[in-house]
Amino acid sequence: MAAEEQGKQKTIAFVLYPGLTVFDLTGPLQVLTALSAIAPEYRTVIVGERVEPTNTDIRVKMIPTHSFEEVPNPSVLLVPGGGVPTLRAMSNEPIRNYVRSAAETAEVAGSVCTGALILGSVGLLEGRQATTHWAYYKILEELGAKYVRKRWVEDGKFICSAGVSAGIDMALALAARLTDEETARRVQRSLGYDPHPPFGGIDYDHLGAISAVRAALSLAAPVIAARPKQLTRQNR
Amino acid sequence: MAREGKKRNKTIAVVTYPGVALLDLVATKTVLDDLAMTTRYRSVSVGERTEAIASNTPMRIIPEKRFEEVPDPFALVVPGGGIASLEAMGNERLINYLRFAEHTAELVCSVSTGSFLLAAAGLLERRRATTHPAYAELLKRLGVDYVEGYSVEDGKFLTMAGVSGGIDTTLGLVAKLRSEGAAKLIQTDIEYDPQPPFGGLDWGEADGDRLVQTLEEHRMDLEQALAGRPDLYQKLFG
Repeated sequence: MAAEEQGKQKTIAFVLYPGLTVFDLTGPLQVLTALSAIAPEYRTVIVGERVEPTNTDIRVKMIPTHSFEEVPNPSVLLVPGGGVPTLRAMSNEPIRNYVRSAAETAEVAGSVCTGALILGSVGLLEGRQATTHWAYYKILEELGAKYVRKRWVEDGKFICSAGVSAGIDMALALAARLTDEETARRVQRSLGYDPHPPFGGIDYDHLGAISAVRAALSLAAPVIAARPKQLTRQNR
Repeated sequence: MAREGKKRNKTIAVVTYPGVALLDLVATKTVLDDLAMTTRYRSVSVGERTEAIASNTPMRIIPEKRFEEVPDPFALVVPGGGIASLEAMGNERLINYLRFAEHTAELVCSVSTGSFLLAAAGLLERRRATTHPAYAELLKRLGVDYVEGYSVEDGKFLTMAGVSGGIDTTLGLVAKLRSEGAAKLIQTDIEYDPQPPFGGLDWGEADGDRLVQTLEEHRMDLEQALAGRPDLYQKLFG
């Protein structure tokens, strides 16, 4: 295929880092890899600090296709989230530097779940509408973003999805943005994505005991955001 | 299923093979790992070797354990992989593992085309089972009593169509193993409140011709992959 020649293809880069919630990355990766089969002008790559086995939350090690240096200017940058490892990544210099510089030149910079906190930690979401996993919204606000409780939120070149599985819906919307709705529908068909949660949707107003997690994270939000904010100020 | 009295972990072996569908593997394992937080169920990915293998995306994966290290899991889960599942039917060590582990497993599950591997191991003979709708005709050719549905149960065998990476049916499985409340908690954690931007799918449009075409395109690969199983190759291509 001619479009596969280097330079002609547009690169969609997913950031992989130790301990991430790999479902965050996998949903959009599966969607956009299916897109690249239909629209070969796109290719998906997975970038990490080093091309080596990287541990994930489900203990299956995953191997990126490229190092950060090898993909300095992707057309699309997507940052997945996670729990504590993501909070740690917010202060990790190689990850921060890559996300900051790659997002600057990308046409679209996006996040899944708490990946938004990494975008926010380098100052990219200041004053912008964004979303994240429901339990972590306070940290996102602490980083200067305007939290919106939606499945995904677009603001300029930024696109952020809610927690984990929301990345699939966001990636389909992104596929339509990169090509057209007809192509995005074909991608959905090829994946067989036709969700029917067996016990209905989520009632966000009645989360019960689990909302204690959100309360605890909200209390800790200023502390969690302090160091990344300080790092960002030093960088300016 | 009632919780057992003795304090022993119940291992759920999630089987990997080259070309495995990454979302099937990751979604299933994520849901089962969430279940592990409050129960004795423990999921572990198994493969021929603990070395890197391809998935159906550019990402390569390394399973946690070799087949031999998990000889008697409580449950088996076989993810899909489309054509890669058909090729894996010729993988003798994988098929032998399924045959061996099935003896003691109390639950044997497949997602999407993972059912072809159960069929290749001879485990679905005269059983009711399902698979990805596009592969229905092909599964019938292997002598399986194909039933259309999100998930189909026959004895200890639970086959899932694998629609949406098997998320729906794995949540259903959690409800069966633990409780509906546990499933809903996991659903909230992974924020599974789907809103496909263009709505759902109309399965009536399922395109049988496309599968025939895809099969023809991969005929050489399949002939090679199934060299040791001429019986299966014969049934697939007639």
